[in-house]
Amino acid sequence: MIAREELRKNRLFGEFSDAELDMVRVAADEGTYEDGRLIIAEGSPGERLYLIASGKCSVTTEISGAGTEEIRLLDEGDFFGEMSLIESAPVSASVYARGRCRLLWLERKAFDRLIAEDMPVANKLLRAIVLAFCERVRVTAAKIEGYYKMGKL
Amino acid sequence: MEERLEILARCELFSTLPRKGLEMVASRCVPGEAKKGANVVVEGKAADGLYVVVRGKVDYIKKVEEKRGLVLFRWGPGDVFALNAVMDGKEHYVSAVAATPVKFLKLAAADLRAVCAADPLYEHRILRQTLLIESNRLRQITVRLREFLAKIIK
Repeated sequence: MIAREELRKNRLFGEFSDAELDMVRVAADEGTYEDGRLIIAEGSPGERLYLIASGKCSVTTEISGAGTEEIRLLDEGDFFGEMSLIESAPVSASVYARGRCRLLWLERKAFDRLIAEDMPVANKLLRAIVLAFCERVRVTAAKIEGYYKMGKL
Repeated sequence: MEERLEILARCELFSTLPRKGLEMVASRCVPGEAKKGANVVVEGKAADGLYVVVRGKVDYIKKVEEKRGLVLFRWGPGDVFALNAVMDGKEHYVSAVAATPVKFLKLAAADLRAVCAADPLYEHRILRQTLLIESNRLRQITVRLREFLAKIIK
């Protein structure tokens, strides 16, 4: 079974007690992805929340007429795939393994169960996701500023 | 009070709250207004509350040069803004400028925390709605980012 400490290292679960982490441990799966392997594809239905236990993952998107561009590099302790679970919408970007990486994941059903079963646990998890979203919105808005300036050069 | 409740019930952030929770939010909101062109919130300043548009339009503007900004979003009646900075307690990442004369309701950050602390269900519903709102905004900003990237690469 996945170690508690491995989960606690992830920014989503830093505030979880041992008992709460155990609820996640029993529901989570794990796997290793080799360099360059596609983990989730842009436009596909999102079915998992992924946690990076070790290694890095590259978030890419298709730019019309220009090919694939990396828009974010995720590191150990980051997570991805949650947007599609929350919105029930297709995945907005592709994610590839950058080097060898070990991932943990919660399937949609397990994620929904975790959110539905215990409200204090759900709120902890939702708060952590909200904070991560807020940061992503900030980072993306700041990138727009940077690209605007580059576009003018 | 009834009018305020109607406005808040139409706001995505509070739309799933039970009546009691909505009343709590309504009782803590403070009405305000801004003239066309006025800053409601300023990029880089600390957030002290969130806003729900009652009437008029508000532009969400990201500063890109000393005297130039890009409109990332335009908000109308029922829309909430300054939510991001209230949630993470950091400064505003954009300015909110009245594109027309605007009336709004303001909920102080401390009052939002009080509503969330009053009942875990209120917090749960507000968090879920926040995720939907922020997720949608993240998608929209990402589309803008792609447009800029495409321009640069071409």
